[in-house]
Amino acid sequence: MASKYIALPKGVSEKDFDAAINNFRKVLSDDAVLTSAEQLAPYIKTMMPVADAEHTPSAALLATTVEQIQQIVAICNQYKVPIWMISTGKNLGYGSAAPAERGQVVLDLKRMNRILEVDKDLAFALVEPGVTYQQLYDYIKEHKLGLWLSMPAPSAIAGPVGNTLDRGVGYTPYGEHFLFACGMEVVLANGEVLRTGMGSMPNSNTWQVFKWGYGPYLDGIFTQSNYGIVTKFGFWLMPEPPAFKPFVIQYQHEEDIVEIVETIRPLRISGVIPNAVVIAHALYEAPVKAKRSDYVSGPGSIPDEAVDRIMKDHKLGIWNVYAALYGTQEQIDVNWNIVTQAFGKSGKAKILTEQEAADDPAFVYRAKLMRGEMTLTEFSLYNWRGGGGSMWFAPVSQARGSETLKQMALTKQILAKYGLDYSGEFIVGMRDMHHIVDVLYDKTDPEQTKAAYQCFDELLTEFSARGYGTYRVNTAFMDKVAETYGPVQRKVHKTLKKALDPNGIIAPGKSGIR
Amino acid sequence: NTGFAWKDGEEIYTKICAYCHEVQVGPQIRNRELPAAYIREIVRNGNRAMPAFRYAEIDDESLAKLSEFISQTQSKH
Repeated sequence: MASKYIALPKGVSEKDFDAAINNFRKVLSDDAVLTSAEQLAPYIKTMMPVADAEHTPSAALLATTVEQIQQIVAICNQYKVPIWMISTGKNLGYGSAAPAERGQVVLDLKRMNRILEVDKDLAFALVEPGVTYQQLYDYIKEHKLGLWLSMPAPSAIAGPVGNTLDRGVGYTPYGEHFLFACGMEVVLANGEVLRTGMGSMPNSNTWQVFKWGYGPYLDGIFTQSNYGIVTKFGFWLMPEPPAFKPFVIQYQHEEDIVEIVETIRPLRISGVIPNAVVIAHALYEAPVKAKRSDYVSGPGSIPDEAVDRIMKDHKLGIWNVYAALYGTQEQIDVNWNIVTQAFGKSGKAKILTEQEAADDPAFVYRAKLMRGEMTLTEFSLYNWRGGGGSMWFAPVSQARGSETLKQMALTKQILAKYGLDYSGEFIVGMRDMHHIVDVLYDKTDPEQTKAAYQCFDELLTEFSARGYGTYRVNTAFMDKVAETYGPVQRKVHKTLKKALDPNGIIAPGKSGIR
Repeated sequence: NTGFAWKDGEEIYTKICAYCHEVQVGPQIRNRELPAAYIREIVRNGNRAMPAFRYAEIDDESLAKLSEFISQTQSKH
């Protein structure tokens, strides 16, 4: 007889799963325990080049309170049911809302979406997992709090908790999101509720203002991990500056990335340019303005000659450096002089401000991202090839020109081997770069899907062989990336896992930890 | 002390759909008399480049209101 479930958790009998589901129903209302194929369909859609069956959940639970989550983990421990937590579940290119392993129960916290506090003076927020950036943006506007958000490109539909727990990034001076996190509440596998930092102290009012607390600092072990379920999350917000000046600097040759990075690094480290700058390749920005099919047809990666034509037709550099200045007009004027002098030296840079680029759709969405305004325009990347295939290949690089050129060339060469295009950008930290490459392919084409899988695998293999590690990866490749960081780290991760979650019920497989 | 819930179809359209469907990331969907069943199918399953949206994000009742808003032919967003 066919199972009444679309999947079962690994090692759990249908009888035990029945019992667990019945108990979940006692904790949650009936419409918050989803088991039918129709209800679970949205959880199955991923952009990864593997069969959907490999990441099909057995059920989804829509919890809204800490107490419910405590009861859920008790049931999971009793029946050894693994759960996969999502907050807003928009981890596109990294596995979306689907579990790492087939059969896991998704603990969907989207409906747990209260904004608990936004402090105007101390400029912080405390929120639940289901809060979206749009929701918080509207709240801040409505209450005239004068605070700016930092968010990733999926902005409106993503949220600060899920994004920061995967250590995602944004584009303002607060773009390194985990750096600006301050205080978490975590339900542990044994049902206990831990508040990190100052949050553990009764009557404390400093949970969101001082990060470390006393003793070992634990927040980091709850990011990209499966040691607990984060139910509250605090983070700092940037006060709205009196003036904002976004700009783009365009270069014409791929090798120019060396000059770009050497010019930016001192400006970033000294704080003259304070935000998470982006150095976007022409093919990363092109989808906002151009169709791939207008320039190339048939198999293979796009030739350089076609990229040249796109640049000319759509006023793009091969590298497009998006950055911004923030502060009073006087501060901006002083720093603008420093920036234009630094980039003006070689004569290769074309510097454009809002005056020249206000009608350019790529500039417009970049300016929005750099000031925390909602926009999903970057999703046009998914139209470049179309077909719903996308994986983020995200190696870390030194902010050193020679390194960025080396990584770019290697990535492009491996992509070309599989007929795919280099749609890449560098997100500039102070000393690091998140080298972000969208491995785009047509998931409706089985051959191209197979090629994309092999391509991604080879990218990871070749980069790790050269000592380049990945900062974040989709669920199909988590084990592979965990291996690249060596056996000792993996053993420590496992030791912590056993101590905190002896039954292995919380998201086994996350970051390769079981 | 409950969390955020959608007011109406227009709000959902403005705060989710419009970010793609009014800026040529996705196709135009307003004023096309798209059937509710079709909208529901696409929203729940996703469609190629378009992500899926879960019951937890847009519940069935809200999705019905959204469909109604999208299929209205008079008002323009």
